[in-house]
Parts: sequence; C-alpha cells; structure tokens
Amino acid sequence: MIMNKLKVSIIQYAPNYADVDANLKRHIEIIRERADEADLVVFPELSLTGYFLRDLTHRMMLSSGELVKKINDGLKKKKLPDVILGFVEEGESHNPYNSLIYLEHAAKGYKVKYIHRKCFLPTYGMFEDARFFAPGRNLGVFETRFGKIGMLLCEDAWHPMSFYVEALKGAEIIVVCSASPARGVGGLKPHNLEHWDKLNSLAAATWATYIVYASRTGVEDSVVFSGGSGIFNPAGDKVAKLQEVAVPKEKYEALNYEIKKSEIRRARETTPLLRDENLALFSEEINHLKLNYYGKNK
Amino acid sequence: MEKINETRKLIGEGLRVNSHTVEKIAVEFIKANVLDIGFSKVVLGLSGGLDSSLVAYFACKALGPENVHAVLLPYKLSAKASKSDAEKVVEALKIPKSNVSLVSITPQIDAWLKKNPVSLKAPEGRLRFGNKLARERMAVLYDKSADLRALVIGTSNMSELLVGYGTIFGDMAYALNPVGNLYKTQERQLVSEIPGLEFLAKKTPTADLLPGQTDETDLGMTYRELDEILFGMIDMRFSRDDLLEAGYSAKKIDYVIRKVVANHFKRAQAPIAKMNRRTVPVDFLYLRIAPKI
Repeated sequence: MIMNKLKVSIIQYAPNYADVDANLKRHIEIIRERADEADLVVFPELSLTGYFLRDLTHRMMLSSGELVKKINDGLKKKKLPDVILGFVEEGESHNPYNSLIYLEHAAKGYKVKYIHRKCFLPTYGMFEDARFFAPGRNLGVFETRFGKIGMLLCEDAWHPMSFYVEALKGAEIIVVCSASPARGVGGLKPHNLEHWDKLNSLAAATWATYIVYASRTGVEDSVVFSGGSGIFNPAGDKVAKLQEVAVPKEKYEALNYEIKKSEIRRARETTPLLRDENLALFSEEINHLKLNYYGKNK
Repeated sequence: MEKINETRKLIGEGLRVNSHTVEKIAVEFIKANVLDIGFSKVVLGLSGGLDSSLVAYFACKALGPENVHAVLLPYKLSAKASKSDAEKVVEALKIPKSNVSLVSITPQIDAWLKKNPVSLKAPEGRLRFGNKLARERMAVLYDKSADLRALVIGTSNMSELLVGYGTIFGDMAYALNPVGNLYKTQERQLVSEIPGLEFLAKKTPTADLLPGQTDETDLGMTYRELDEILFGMIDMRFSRDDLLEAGYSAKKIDYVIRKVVANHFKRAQAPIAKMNRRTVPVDFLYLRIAPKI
C-alpha cells in the first residue's frame, strides 16, 4: 500500500552517555508513546549511545540483528511506527560503524529495512570520528510505504555530493540525523545551527525533497549540543522546528509533522531541477576527475 | 584600505555575543556538569570583579541561588571596593546570606611571608606573592568544596587563559568553568545586559593582588586591544601578516604571541612518561562523564 501522507515524529533528546540499556529502554518507551500519532519516529545520531565515545566505541557495539531482537522483545503491539535510530553497529570483521538503521514494522514485529553507515567521518577541530569508526561506503536510498527515503549522518550532509547522490537515486525524503556541538555565540542561535539551516534549506529547495533534521541536545563534558531539529519542505522552508540548545530534564521533545506527497509534486513542477539534471555530463566529469586528479602526482 | 576594514570588521563582529545564546549554553553546561554527576551545589571565590560575578550569575540561573556558595577571600591589601562590589553582586543575584562567607587569608599568608619573605619591588617577588595568594584561595575553596559537597566553579576567562594571566593550581584549579571560552570583552558586554551587574562593565579589571594594580597595566594594553588580536589569531585564524595589514601594531602582536606560547604549559596537562600499553591521557581516552571504562 502506497501512502500519500507520512506523519513524522522527530525525537529531540539527550541520550544517557554510554548507557545502551538505559537508552534502549527510553527508545522503547518513546516509540510506544508516539505509536498512535506517528508513522515514522526519527531519533538523532548515535541516539543509543551518545556521541564522543572515544575508547568506549568498541564497547558500545551491537549487531543489527541483536538490536532488532532487543527492540522486538521490548515492544509488542500490533500497530507501531517505523523507526530510524542511531547506534554503534558491529559490522563485518567486528568493525564499529556510526550507523542509522531504518526499522520497518510489520505483523511479526520490526525488521531491518536499511542501514546507513556514516561516510564522512570528520577529524578536524574537536571531531575524532575517523579515529574510532570505520567509514560507510555508500549513500543508499530505499523504498518504503511512503516512497523513497535517503538517510544521512551529520557530516555527510556538509558534503554536497551526499544530498545530490541521494536526490539522483530518487529520494523524496532525506532524513539527516546529527549530534552538532553548539559553537559561535554571536547570533540568536548558535552559528553551527544557522549553517545547518542554510544547508538543509538549500538542499530541500534544490532537489524539491523534504528534509527531516533530527538533532540531539544535552552535554558531553565541554560540548553542549545545539538541538534545533526541524522539517524543511520541498520549497526549502523550515516549516516546523524544536527549540535550540535547552532540553527538559529526563524528557524529550517531539516534533510532529505531516509530510505530503502532493507538496513534493508541486515543488518539482515549480522547480524541476532534478528533471533537468544531466547525468551524462556528471558522469563524464567524474571520469575526467578520476583520470586527472585522484591518485595523480602533479 | 578595504582589507584593513574587512579584517577589523570581521574581528569586531566576531567578538559580539548574543547574551541569550551564551546564557542557554552556559546554563546547560553547568546543569550537566554538576547535577548529572551527582552534585547539586557549586562554590566560588567571589572577588567583586567581572569574571566571578558573571560565573555566579550563570550558576544561579542553572542551579538556583540557594545552591550557589560564594566565598569572599580578601587579603589585607585587597581594595575595599572589592568587598562592597561582591556584596552588591550577592544582593543582585539573590544569593542567600547564609551561603556567603568571608574568609580573610591574611593570617596564613602573613605567617608564610614572615618565614619566607618576598620583595614586592622585584618581578620574581611579585610573582611568588601573587601565586601564593591565588593558591591559598584555591586551598580554602577546595576545603569548602569538601565541606559543602559543592563543586568549585572556575572563573578564568579565555583572554587570561591564552596569555597565561593566572596561577596554575591557583585560580586555574576548578571542577568546571563556564566562562573559559569567553573573552573579557565578551564578558563585559554580557554583564552590561544583566540587571544589577551593569556597573561591572565599567569597572577597571584588577587581579587585586597589590594596591593600585590593574590588569591592563600588567598586560601593557587594553583588554579590547588584546582580545582583538587574540580573537583574530586564535578564533579567526588570521596570520601575523593579516593583522599587520589590518593596522595592529607589530609590537603588540608579537607580545601577545610570545605570551600565548610561553604560557602554554599552564593550559596543557603535564606529560606522563609512557611506559606501559596505555597512558593517561595519551591513549586512555574517556570523557570525564564516562560511566565505565
């Protein structure tokens, strides 16, 4: 059954640092609470563990199979929303990945629909991702009841190719999950969040897709995360949002929004940039780059 | 000419802060680094100056004034205004009187100085004297910390940390610090917007170690000049040449660079000789909040 509307619920919260069991319990409670009003519940990056894990990274690993089992054991209900959450995935060769998992709910419980592994692992400034995680190797898009969805993790979205590739692969909704440290205090919101808004807005308007931005709050030592989750419509407007920085203690905030296929159609009729993309040209340029740039000593 | 204006304009704009955003971040930071690790209270040395008053304000916002303990730690040479300004701050922030204590450090300092005299006329003597005062205050605060089960909240700002205008294991000792990434110029702007603390924006900053001492005389330039050079170099990553081109004086730029470099030892954790497989903090990497290792 193809749905023309999708009720999304973004969960903005602060995970308990490095406590998978506690966070799993919170995820299960939240999913249950959202069950009647959401088709898809979206948690932020590494929502099951916290972000700056450093030497705890390997200790936080779960295989996708173990994760699904734990969630199905905790949640027995006929009707439940699909879920996107962030965790440290134990992949091939016991390597840790910073992953997002899309869990689709069916009669027999949740099953794994798709896993996105963070591709761009930042190591500049305060970031240490690539020191502890193995990198993802593709920017996938997958079919859901609503249509095609793509997922991105934080730094992925700062590289324009990520949105571009997922848009070309047909994504109608791109879900961006982040743990973004608040920094730059000259404006009404932290500067990083102003940048996020520009980035998401531009991508949404360019490719006429919805962007669902789930951003965590809370604190890890020096770093306060900036929150400010939101929905960007296919015209690029931030049509719904949650507050910046502050988080109510022990609670979470949910942002509920109904995504409509008709809005995507309307935006793509108005601004058909995706229709006019030139894949042949793009592919030629990529080949040119491969031949003349990568791996060449100049 | 265009370049000069652009660099200076970027630095000037960059140093502006939004008090709403700063407060939100400071409040969440304090809550997490106090409440989430099982404490409810903080204790700080309140000097009646800008830094400690601003920290007291953030702490009151985060934890409630009833959970903020202020200790006034005068020495006999401290300026009289320090005490009355500290009292003004206590009143403005509604910190209960029972949370405020006055501990004169004169007896212990004078007892020490009697056996270990220093000359306040010589730079080395002033250094030893200033450090001794700062470390005595730290010792009192840490005793109060254990007594009250309150974390010592630090008040060193970014300008001081960068040029090393502080005493290692003295005022640089604390359990958490909400203002260590704010330049003095930014703190001034912030207090000018806080009811009851506005007077601090115009107050002459002083370490108040010796009568008549001011920070800006010690530093050889105003905080505004210092902060523009620091913010330009550190936050904006402008080079020495960029700053020269923008009209900052070579003498001042070089003085600031020397200070930042010479005092880096105070900011860096002391190295531990690596012997075994894992070494603190080289490859034993955990956040302070880590619940397990």
